[in-house]
Amino acid sequence: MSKEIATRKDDYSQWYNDLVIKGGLADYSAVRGCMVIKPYGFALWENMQSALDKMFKDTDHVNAYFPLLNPKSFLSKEAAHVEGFAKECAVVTHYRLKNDPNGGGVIVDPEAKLEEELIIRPTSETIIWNTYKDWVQSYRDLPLLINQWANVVRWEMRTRLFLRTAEFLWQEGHTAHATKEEAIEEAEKMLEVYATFAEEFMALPVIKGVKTESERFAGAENTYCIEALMQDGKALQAGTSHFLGQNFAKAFDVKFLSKENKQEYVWATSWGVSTRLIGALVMAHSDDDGLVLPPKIAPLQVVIVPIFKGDDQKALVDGKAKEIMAQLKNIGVRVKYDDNENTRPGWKFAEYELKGVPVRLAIGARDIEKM
Amino acid sequence: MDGLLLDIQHDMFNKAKTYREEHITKADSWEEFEKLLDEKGGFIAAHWDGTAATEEAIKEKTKATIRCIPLKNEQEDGKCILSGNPSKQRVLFARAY
Repeated sequence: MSKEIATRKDDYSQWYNDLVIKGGLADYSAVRGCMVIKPYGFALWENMQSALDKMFKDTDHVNAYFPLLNPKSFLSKEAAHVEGFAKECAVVTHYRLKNDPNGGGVIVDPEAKLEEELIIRPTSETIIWNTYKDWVQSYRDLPLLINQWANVVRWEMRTRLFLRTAEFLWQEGHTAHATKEEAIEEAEKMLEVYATFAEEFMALPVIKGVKTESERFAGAENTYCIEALMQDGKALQAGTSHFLGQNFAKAFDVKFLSKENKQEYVWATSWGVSTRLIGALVMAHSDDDGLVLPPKIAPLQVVIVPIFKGDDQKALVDGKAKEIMAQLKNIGVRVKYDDNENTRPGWKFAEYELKGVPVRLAIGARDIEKM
Repeated sequence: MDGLLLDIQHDMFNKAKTYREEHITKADSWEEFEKLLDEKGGFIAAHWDGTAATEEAIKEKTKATIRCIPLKNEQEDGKCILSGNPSKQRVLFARAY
């Protein structure tokens, strides 16, 4: 083996960390609780993103972007919401640094204190519903079917790569509807989208259900979820979709003029999945030899490793390998030809097994002669 | 190659699904519930009286939470595994990430 990884039986938690780090998905950073998503891990996320994004657009949603910094006062407008998130909010209090007169580098300039503190979004209901107030006047403005791809921060004391980090990437859908029935239908529809994505793209079977009242999203009237099972017998919440009732519309005074010419509060949903899904993917499928990635979202689907002795064989193998690579690329397969001569084929195979490349193809002179 | 990749994809799903199906177990008593949690893991389908107090007490005792009330859940009369109070359906418990 090129890199030692723990086994699931000996130390499941260490096994998981080894796979994430040695498999090249992510690593710890200088900031406690925050991770670096490395190119291989990010390529995996991009494949998940593009599949989800297409599913959102196929169900008539559009993307938009709202600010990272939210006024602190917004958070307290919905009572349950602030209660749920206050304890894990990162707060921006100043907007400038200055040189320390005592020579200690830079310090926060006490004169640059913000009049109103800003919080780094833990989720975006508040800023979005404050915005929707301006966007919604009549039933003709509804529904609003908007998604945002963003990062959020929830200050966590006990963190774990992908599964629980202070900052994470996700998408958050925020929709506004004229009727309760339509909003519930939307929340259920997006749960279906998540379940389909998990099962078809991540090869991850999920159970669809609703949360109990105490496990609901802060500010929701009902939280739908998909639950997956990891190989150590522990469950993992893989996605949630919330029916928010009129709670945020009331908190931000978002009303519309109905067809019957009456002023009514708007009905809402929100739904999200995050980079946590990558943790679920690793824990659900991988084995003691490395990551096992489903082909539909694997950054690399096929790797070709040449095996040869001497220049004659090298030319023969190289030509054939490139031909196969071109054919595979033509049919849309994500393929890499690893002709790096500084590493031996055995090392390469172990490495690509660790990285979970679904198909690892060796091509040697003898194989070509047999063709 | 397309076919091979699809086969791998399907095999992965089926393997995970088989494992998941093998790890949804019914528990009808508190002893059974605790034993399953410690020895087998996975989802445990058990009756719950519907109160937040019982839910919290179970969490305190075992670190298991109600993961969800499955959609299209079968309705079935039973008794809550902790309180013994009547229940109309099973919910899914598990220790979770």
